[in-house]
Amino acid sequence: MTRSISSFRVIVGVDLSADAAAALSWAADEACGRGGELIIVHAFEPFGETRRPLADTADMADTSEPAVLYAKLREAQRQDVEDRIAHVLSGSALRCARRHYVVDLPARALCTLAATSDLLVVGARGDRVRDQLGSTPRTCLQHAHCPVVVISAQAGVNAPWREPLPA
Amino acid sequence: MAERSGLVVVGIDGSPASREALAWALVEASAWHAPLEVVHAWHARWLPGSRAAAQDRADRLFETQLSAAVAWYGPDAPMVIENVREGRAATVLLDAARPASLLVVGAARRARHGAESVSEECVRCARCPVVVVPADVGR
Repeated sequence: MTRSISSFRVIVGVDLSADAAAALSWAADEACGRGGELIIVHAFEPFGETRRPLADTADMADTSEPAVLYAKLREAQRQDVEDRIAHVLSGSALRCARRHYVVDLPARALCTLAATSDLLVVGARGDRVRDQLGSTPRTCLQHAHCPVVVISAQAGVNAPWREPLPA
Repeated sequence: MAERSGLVVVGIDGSPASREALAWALVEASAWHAPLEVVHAWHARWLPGSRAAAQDRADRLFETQLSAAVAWYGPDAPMVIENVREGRAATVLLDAARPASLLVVGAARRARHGAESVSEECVRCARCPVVVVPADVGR
């Protein structure tokens, strides 16, 4: 049992999903309540897939160089994520939070940062998985060397995947 | 600061991960001035000897682990509600966590193929956020 004397550091992974927004809101409260700092992490997946609809990127389609196109797509996605973060944090008492934008697999980026943190907060489902625990929280639960909190935006709602096994 | 003074529930079973979970829950509950419910589920079928002996062992394990953690925490420990119950661990925990704002459990020692661990079932089924604390926290 180690009781940390230094600042309580909370890591939260965000994407554009509802669960990520709930996770960020919970993490901001937790950082406030424990008098610690919050680090917000968004990982761009290394192989270029971004969540932005292609219609928004029509003006970028003439870019023939893939690296340049990906850079533009990531910048657009970064802006979306930043807007979402600002929206969630506007309802929170937390005044400042560091941002980490990385190009990596989300679970690996989170677990790496978790090694030097006190708490890792993740949403239960990402923006692609709908009916089960996402791969990122699953991997974090197995590999992170700090406590991991899984947050679901639908807490209290009887989602079908939340039925317990019979006693 | 958002109000989050609801009940914190933590499950213990004597494992290293559950010791870390209990320590984490004590600090968390005290930071939020929240009551802490410490839950230990036991099952006669999985323990040798008579049912009374199993219950007695469960009570002793609970007392030993809880008093060690409270002693580690020191003075001004949060209010603790004790809950030792017979039953399947995940079912007992999820039932206790129904009115809670946070459920804290230790991580399973290793992934078992095909079988869901107690912490996994809690994450899947709980209606509140679930904190899973590994045994090697802070190392």
